[in-house]
Amino acid sequence: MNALLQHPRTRATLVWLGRWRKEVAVTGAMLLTMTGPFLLKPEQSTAPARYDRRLVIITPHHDRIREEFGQAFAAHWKETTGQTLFIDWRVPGGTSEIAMLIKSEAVAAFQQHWQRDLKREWTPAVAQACLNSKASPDDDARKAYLASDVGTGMDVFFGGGAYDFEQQAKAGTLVAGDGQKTGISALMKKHPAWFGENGIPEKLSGEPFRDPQGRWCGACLSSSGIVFNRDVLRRIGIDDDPTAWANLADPRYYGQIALSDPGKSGSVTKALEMLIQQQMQIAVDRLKADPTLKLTPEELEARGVAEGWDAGLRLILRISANARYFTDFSTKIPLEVARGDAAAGMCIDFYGRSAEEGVRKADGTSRVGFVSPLGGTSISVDPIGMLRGAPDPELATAFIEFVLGEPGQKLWSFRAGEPGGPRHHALRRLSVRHDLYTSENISRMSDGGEAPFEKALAFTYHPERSATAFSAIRFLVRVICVDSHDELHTAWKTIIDAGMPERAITVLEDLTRVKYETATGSIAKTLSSRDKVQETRLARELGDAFRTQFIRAGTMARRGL
Amino acid sequence: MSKSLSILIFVVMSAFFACFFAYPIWAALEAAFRGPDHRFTLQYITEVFLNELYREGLWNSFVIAVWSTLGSLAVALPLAVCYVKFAFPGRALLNSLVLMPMILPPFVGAIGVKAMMGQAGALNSLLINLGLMDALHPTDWLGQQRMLGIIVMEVLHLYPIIYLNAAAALSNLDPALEEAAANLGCNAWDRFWRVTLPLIMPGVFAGGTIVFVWSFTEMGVPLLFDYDRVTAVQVFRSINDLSGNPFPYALVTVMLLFSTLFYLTGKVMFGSSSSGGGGRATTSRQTAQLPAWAGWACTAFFAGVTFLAVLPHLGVVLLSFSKDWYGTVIPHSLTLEHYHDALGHELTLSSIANSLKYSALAMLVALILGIGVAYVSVRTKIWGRQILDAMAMLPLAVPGIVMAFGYLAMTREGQPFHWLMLGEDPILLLVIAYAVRRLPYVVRSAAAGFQQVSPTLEEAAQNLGARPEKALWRITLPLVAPNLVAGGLLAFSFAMLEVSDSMILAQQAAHFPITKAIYSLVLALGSGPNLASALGVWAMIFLAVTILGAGVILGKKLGALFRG
Repeated sequence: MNALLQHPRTRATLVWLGRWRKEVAVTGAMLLTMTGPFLLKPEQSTAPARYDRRLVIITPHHDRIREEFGQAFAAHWKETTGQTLFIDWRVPGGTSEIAMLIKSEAVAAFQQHWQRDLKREWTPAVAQACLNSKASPDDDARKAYLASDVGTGMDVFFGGGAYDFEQQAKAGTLVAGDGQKTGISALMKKHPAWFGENGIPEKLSGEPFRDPQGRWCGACLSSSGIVFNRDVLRRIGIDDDPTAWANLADPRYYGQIALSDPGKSGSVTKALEMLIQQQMQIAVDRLKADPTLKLTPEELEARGVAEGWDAGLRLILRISANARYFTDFSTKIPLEVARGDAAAGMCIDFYGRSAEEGVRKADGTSRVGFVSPLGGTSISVDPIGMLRGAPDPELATAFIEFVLGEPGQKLWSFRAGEPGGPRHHALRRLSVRHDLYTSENISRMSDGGEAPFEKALAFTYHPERSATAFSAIRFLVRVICVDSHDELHTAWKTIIDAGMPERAITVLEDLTRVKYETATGSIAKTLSSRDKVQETRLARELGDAFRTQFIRAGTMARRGL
Repeated sequence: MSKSLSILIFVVMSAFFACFFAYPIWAALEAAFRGPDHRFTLQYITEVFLNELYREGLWNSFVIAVWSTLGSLAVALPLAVCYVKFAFPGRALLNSLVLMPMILPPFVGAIGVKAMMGQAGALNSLLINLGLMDALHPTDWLGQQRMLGIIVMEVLHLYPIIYLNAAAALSNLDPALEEAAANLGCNAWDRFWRVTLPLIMPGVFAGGTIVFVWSFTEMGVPLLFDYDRVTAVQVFRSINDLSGNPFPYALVTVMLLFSTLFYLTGKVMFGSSSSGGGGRATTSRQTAQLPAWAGWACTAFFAGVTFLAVLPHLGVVLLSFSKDWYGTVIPHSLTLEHYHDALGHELTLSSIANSLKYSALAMLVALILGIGVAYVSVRTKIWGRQILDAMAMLPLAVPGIVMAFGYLAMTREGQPFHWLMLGEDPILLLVIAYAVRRLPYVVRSAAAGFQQVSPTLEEAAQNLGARPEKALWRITLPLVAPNLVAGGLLAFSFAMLEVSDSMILAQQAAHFPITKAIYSLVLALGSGPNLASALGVWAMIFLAVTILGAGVILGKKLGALFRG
C-alpha cells in the first residue's frame, strides 16, 4: 500500500489532483448531479436510440395514457415481430390545436406536391379547395388531393372528439386504408365482431361511435361533467354538490369556476355542446307540452332549437362570467379545483375521477368530487384514425388494432396492476366495446359500475341540432367569453354587487348578434372558408361589439338600472 | 494578427450574420407583408393595430416591461450602491448569492409561486394562521392580480442583470469625481443624483434594456399564469396554424418594431450621457465602514431581497417533495416519489442530453464567433470593425420569439435553408439560435479581456519570431482565458434555460430540451406541477453547480459580462 502511495506515478497523479483539485471537485459534482436521471431512467423506453421502425402519433392524450399505451404496444410489437419500435408522440396542444396543425401541415405538403410534382400554379383558390369537403367534386385541386398520398409525416391521430375526426375525415386528411392490409377498413374485415352492434355500434343515442367507411373509430368512451371542490363550495356558501350545468351560473360561484379555452381543447367544446343540446331539448319539450301552439313538427323543432341555442349561450355566458380565467389546457381544470383555486369546473369524466382519486384520503373521503349532470351529457367516443400518407401504414394499422383489441381496451379501463391492466396508473376510462363488459372484466375495471352503454340511453344526442354550429360554438365562446373575459367578468361583478338589476342583465345577455340562424349561416360560412383575414376581422367586430355591450351593462348596473 | 485573417473573420462573421440573423428576421417579416397574390400589403399589420385584443396585448406587454424594468432598477440600484460603497457583514457571500435567481427559468419559478399564492396556498394559510385573513374569504391573488404576479416574477428574476451592470459601472467609476463634488460642498444625496448616477447611466442603461426587452417579450411566465393578453403569448398560441395565417408573422413584426423603437429611444436618451466619466480610476475606492446597525441593515436588505428572489425556488423545492400541499403553510406530507417519476420520466434523460448537447455546441459556436468579433473590433483597425461589434450586440435588442419565428420561417419546406432541419432534427437550428442569442455575452467578455491584456505582449512574441496567429494562440488567448470561460459559461447556462427558441423550434418529444420537457411535465395529469418542480430542482442544482463551480475555478466576478 505504502509502496503504491510512494510510486512516482501515484505521486504525480496526486500532485496533479492537488493542483487541479478545484476543477476535479467541480467536475465531480457535475457528474454526481447527472447520475440521478441516469440511474432512474426507464428500463423500457419507447424512444430508443436505435430502432427498426417508427410510429408517429399525434395526440392530445395526456402523459399517462401515452406512457401506458406506448410501452405496452412497443412490448407487444417486440414480442410478435422482434422489431424495436420508436413511438414518436407529437403533442402540440389540445384537440383543436391538433386539428389546426394537421390541416395546416396537409396544405403545406399538398402545395409542394402541386407545385413540384404536378407543376401547377399555387393560387388562393387551390389552397381553398384542396381540403374543402364542400368544394366541387370536379375541382382539380380537390381531386388531386384525394387521389394523392401526400402526408403530414404522421401516422395516427389518436384521441380528441368525434367531431374533429369527422371534420378531418371529410377534409380527407384521415383515410380508411386499402381494405386489405391497412387502415380501419382492413380491421373491419379482419374482426367483424368488433364493429357490430355488440361491439362498437355505429351510433349510440345519436352519438357517432365510428365512421361507417372506417376512416376513424372510437377507441374509448367519454362524457362531460363537473369536477368540484367541497371545501371551496362550503366556503362560498354552497351546501349541496352541483348536479346540473345550470348550477354553475349561480352568482355565488363568481371567480370560482375553472374553464379552459374551447379554442384549444376539444373536450371543453364538447361539454359546452352538451350544455346547449340539453337546453335545446328542454325548449323542444316545453314547446311540445304547450297545447296552444299550432306548429308543424318541423316548425316546432326549428323554434325549439333556436330558443335552446339562445338559452344555452346565455348559460355559457353566465358560467364564463363566473370563470376565474380560461386555462390553455383542460388538464389544468381538475388541478386547479383540487388545489382549491376554483370551486368547480367543466371537464371530461376521467379527469374528474382521477382528480378525486389523487387527493382521496385514507378513510375514502375526498375533497374533490365529480358528477355527470343528469340528462346533460351524452356518452361519446375518443376516436383513433390513420392519417393520409402515413409513413408506415402497416404499423399504424397494427397500433389501431392493438388499441381496439382486448389488450388496449383493458389498458383503458382496468385498475393498475390487474392482469392486462396498466402498469403504473389506472387510466380510468371506459371501454368502447360493449362485448367486453363481462362480469369478469367489470370486476377488474376501475369504473366497472358506470354501465355507460345503459346510461347513454338517458340522453339522446341530436347531431343535426348542433353539428353545423360546432365550430361556431368554439369560435363564439372564444370571441364572446374568452377574449372578452376581463370585461365580462368585471361587468358581472358590478351586476352581482348591484343586486342583479334586470335591465343590466338583459343588456349583458343580449345575443341578437349571434342567433342560431346567424351562427349556422354567415358565421359558419366565414369559418369554413379558411380565410384568416375574414375570420380575424369577424372576431374583432363581434368581440368589439360584445365588449362594448358588457361595459355598458356594467355602467347601467352601477347606476342602479 | 495578419490583416488578411482579420478580413477573413470579418467576412465570415458578416456572412454568418446575414444568414442567421438578418435573414431569419427578414423571413419572419416578409410573410407579414405578402398578400395572397404575392404582392406587398399592409392589411395584416393594420389588422393587428385595428384589433383591440392585439392592441391590448401590446399595451400589456409594454406595461409589464416598464414595471419590470422600474422594479428591477428599484431593487438593484440600492443593492449595487450598498455593495460598492460600504463594508458590511457577509458582503462577499451575499454578492455571490445575487446570481441565485438566474439559475431557474422564471416559468418554473411561477409553478412554485402558483402553489404558494393559490386560494388554499401557503401565503393565505400563513395569513389565516396569523389571524390576518378571514378563512372564509381568502384572497384569490392569482385570479385577480395576474399581471402583478407576472411583473413580480420578472423583477425577482431579472434584477441581477441590472445589479451586475450597475455594480460593475460603479466599481469602475473614478472616486475622485465624487470626492471633487464633495469638496465643492455637495451633499451625499445630490452627489448620487448629479454625479454618480449620470456617470453610471450607460451601465445601468445596458442592463435596463436587456431587462426591458426580455420582459417585453417574455412568454413562459404569462403562459404559466394563463395570461393571454400579451403579445408573446398571442404569437405562441398561433404557431400551430402557420400556413395560410399571416397574423402570427404580423404580430412578430409589430413586436420587433416596438422593441427596436424602445431600444433606440433608450439609447438616445440615456446611452450616450457618459461624457467625462470614462477611463480608469485615478484613486482606488475605499469601502466606507458603516456603524454596526447600518452595516447590519445593509446585510438585512441584501438578504431580504435574495430571500424574496429565491422564494419561488423555495416553492418549487417544497412542491417537488410534497404529496399534497393544500391549506397549509408548508406541505403536510413529504415524498420522494415525484423525483422518482420525474427523473425516470421518458422525456427526462433525453431532454437533459439534448440540452447539454445543444448548449455545449452553442457555447462553442458563440465562443469561436465571439473571440473573432472581439479580436477584430479591439485589436485591429480595419474598416467596419465597429459595425461588426454592433452587429454582434444586436441580438440583445431582438426578442427571442422573433428570432425563433424567423428560423421557423426560413426552414419551412421549400425554403433555401430547409436542409438545416436535417430531416426533422432541430439540433443545428437550436444551436445556431442559442449561439446567436448568447453571442453578446461572449463578445463583451472577450472584448473586456482583450482590452485588459496589453497588445505589447503579443508584439513581443512577434518580435521573437512568432507568426501573428501563433502569438494570438500562445500568448493572448491564454491570458484572456478566464474571461472566455466566464463568457462561455454564461452562454451555456442561458442556453440551458432558454425558453422561446426551445418552445417553438423543438416540436418532437425526442428533441425536447429540458425547458420544454419541464413545460410539458406541468401538463401531466394529477401530479404535473410536482413532477415539473422535481425536474426544475434538478436543473437548478445542475446550474448552481456549474455557475458556482466556474466561480470557484475562476475566483473572479462575473459582473462585467452583462455590459451590453
